[in-house]
Amino acid sequence: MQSQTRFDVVIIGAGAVGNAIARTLSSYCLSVAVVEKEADTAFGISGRNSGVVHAGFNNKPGSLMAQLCVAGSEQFQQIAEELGIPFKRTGKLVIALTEEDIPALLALLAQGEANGTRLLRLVGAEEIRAINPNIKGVMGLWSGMTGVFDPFAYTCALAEAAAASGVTYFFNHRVAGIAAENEAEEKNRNFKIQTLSHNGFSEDKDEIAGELSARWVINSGGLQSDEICRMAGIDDYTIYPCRGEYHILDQKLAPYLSLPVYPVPNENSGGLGVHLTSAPSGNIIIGPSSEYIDEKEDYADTRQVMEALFSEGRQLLPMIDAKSIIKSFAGVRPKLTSRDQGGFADFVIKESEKIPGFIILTGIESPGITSAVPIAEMVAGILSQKETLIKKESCDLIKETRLSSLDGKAHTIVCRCEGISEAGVLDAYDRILAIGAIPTMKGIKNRTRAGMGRCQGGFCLVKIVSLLQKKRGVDPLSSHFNTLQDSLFAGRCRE
Amino acid sequence: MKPIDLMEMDAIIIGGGPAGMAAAISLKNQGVFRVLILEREAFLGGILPQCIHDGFGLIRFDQNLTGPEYAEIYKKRLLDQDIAYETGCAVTRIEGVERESDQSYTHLNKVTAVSAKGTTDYLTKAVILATGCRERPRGALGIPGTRPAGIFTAGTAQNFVNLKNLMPGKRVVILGSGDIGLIMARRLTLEGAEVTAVVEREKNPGGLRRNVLQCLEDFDIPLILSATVTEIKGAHRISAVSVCDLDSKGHLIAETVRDYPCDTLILSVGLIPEIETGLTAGIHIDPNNGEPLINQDGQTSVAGIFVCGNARYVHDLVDDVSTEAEEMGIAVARYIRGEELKGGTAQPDQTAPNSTDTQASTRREKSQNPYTITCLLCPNSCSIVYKPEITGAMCGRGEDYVKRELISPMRMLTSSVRVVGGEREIVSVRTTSGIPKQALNEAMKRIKSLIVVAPISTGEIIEKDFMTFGVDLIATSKVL
Repeated sequence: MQSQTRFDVVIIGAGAVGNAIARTLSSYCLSVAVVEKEADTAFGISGRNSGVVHAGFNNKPGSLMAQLCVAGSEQFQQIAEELGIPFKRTGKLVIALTEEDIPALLALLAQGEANGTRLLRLVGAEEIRAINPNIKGVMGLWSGMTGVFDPFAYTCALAEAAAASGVTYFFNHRVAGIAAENEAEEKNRNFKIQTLSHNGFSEDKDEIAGELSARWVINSGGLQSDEICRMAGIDDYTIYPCRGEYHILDQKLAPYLSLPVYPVPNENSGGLGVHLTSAPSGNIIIGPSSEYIDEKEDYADTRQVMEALFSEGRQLLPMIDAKSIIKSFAGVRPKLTSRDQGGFADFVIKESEKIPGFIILTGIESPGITSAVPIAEMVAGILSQKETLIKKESCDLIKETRLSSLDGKAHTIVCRCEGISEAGVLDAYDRILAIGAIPTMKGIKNRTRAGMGRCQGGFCLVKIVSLLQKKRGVDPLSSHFNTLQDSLFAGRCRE
Repeated sequence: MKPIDLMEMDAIIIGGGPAGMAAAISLKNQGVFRVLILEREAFLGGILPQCIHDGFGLIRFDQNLTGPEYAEIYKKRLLDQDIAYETGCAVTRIEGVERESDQSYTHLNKVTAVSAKGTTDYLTKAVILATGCRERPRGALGIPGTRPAGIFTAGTAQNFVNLKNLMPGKRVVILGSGDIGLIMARRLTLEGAEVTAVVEREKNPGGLRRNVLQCLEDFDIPLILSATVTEIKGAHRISAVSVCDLDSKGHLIAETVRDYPCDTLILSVGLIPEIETGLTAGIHIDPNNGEPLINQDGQTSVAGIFVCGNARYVHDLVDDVSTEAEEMGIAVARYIRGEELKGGTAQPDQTAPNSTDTQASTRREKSQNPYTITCLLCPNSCSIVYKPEITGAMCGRGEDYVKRELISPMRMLTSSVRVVGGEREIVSVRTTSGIPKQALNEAMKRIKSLIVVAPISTGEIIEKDFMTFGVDLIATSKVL
């Protein structure tokens, strides 16, 4: 496996932001590693969101959120092309359902203009119907810069681009301790990063300890970013987990929604309100709810919220019925504002004053994924203030186009709902290994969409297991479903 | 645009399961020759190869066959009749095309299919959708909780166990009492798993009465009626489900919530016609149940597109699917020849049984009389009263069945045996007739210890005079 343990930079967290930083830094003459506690990339916040590229009008003028989100939105088309991922600049509607919502809508417009968001304008009831006939509202704010993308494809592609230009990934490496040595002397500064890895699979509790060292540590630990700060001796931050639940609807409803539709946000809710998103796959996504929870990684769905989401979704789009739901899921926002405070704090992106060389990224909630590449550039800027970063002579951050599912060529179909071929599944498996991640059914699903359709893997799970056994020699008994600690099967029927 | 040479057919049959095969044979018998079956799996037979249990063919062949044996009969007929088929070939699109000519047909359908050979377009007079059905997944049920490993639909679990030699889990709760769920309760129990409960939200089980009896009651597996799973627990692999009783209106009775520890949840909560291929051509469906609207000939709302089998509505018995497909084949042949049809506008299928259908409900309901035995000889599942005298059998065999059931109940055992040197790890087997019910566990021990060498052909004797019960253990499928 990875034998190098000494790096110029160690990034903690292989989410979209960590991967984007890795990709940006990989264009310089630096040795870069990413450590991630999960088996694969996009298993946390980056894989559990609406998949919307925000235009930056929801954030306070002058905030990092506003500045980086607007920059991210402006760049996204180009980034999506470089990475070869699905992105559609659909535009978005924020709807005032009643006259009472109008002042808030006007405030959003003013805020957007102050932030430099382009293509914002108010639309009347008639134009709302013209944009999307099934949506009703007395007035709307139309944002032409908003778009939808595939967050799994995006996060994976960032990691692949980084790995391809020399970044080393350490998956299944949970950071357990950080010790700074000689932090005052910039030349001799050294961080020791202790890690723990699960030994084997199933519910095995044994863990293997490891250690990496680096001159720079970049804490992009998302929900755990506060704990990672504390390991380094920085006690300034507390992450308040705030869960958002979603429903995914059958692609049959795709014709009824052409762009994301949001209600006017409630200042105190800590989210942008339950909205409808027209994902590039054709699925409509309803959500997210907003609920402060105690456990950071409690991704459970709850009956109350599931029912509420459904009725709120129907309010925006009446043709949604219970049979349209094909899956429910949840994500958790890493908020710096508590339940009592509500609302949004700004992103924290800075080098620690206390521990030089330790870069803190915390509170990277929405619009974090839109802002990932500008955040990465900002982090590179922080490094370059301390040392000269030399660009590599040749560095290709542009990913080759991935195998598309159905391109008119010869294919044996594995996933009938999404039209995914055997070649697509094998390609996904190989790409998981190429970034040093550990294959799981979830990792294959995230990369191919096999299993995301209306049958939810009822047909393709069997085929994927058999295909990987036949073509890649994967023993089904050591296959994982979602995590390193689960196993897909209990054994063989006949030895 | 450059004109494309399209292969032109009389009928393209989408799906090579029982419905598709029976329709193809029927068309051939009607003198329609340019028939092609497009099957997306690597093999013909649809879902039958994984249904290694018995109960097939009782109506059509007056024999108690397993799924793979039933499929084999039709596969052989297909080959004998030289009917063309292609496997590993998925239809992605159907669209109507109008052709200018002086022939009687101007309306054709273009069928686009993808396979390892490439993308092919076919022109055809008729399309038969024989695409079967799919299982309702967890996501469609709205069960709160986590999303761990260990949740399988019954059919997926059945495929893993019966074709892939893989055990989904050891401690199992089954939600829903559809036939596949009941069959899997027995199958997993015989394989050594503990099925702690079958949970059904309705007052009556969803599957046939015969399956409740021979799959649950034979093995003392608790059937919890008027209850449902209200939460899934477990961070990695599923660790428990919460079960809650429902009142007569179907509302949860909160104080009845209790947890069932498990490592596996099997879902048998309904089947939905898999009609998406037809939707690409714009056929109309009933929004209430997803079933396609058809006229008296089985024709959908789009000219030339017909539908049969579970893609039309979900049937209890494969025998009924075969019969329906054969009858529809006659109408399709008339359509192809331009002859008069029964016609009518496309509407919900009038032949599909509904919940008030007496035949369908007698197949499901349990008799209130304690001196009753459900006859397992055929799907009618006659409730036969044996005290003070034997009454209630719809045929003469029922009386003999009850007499034997009272003295020494016998059951056909279906299972699988390890194969070495073949394309698969296991071959499905059955006893040629019943063995004593009490001996099933001993018989399973024996079956688990057997190893056979490929190739194995269907019907081949695996063990003669199996455990001296006077019956043979035979292979019910082939392994090359």
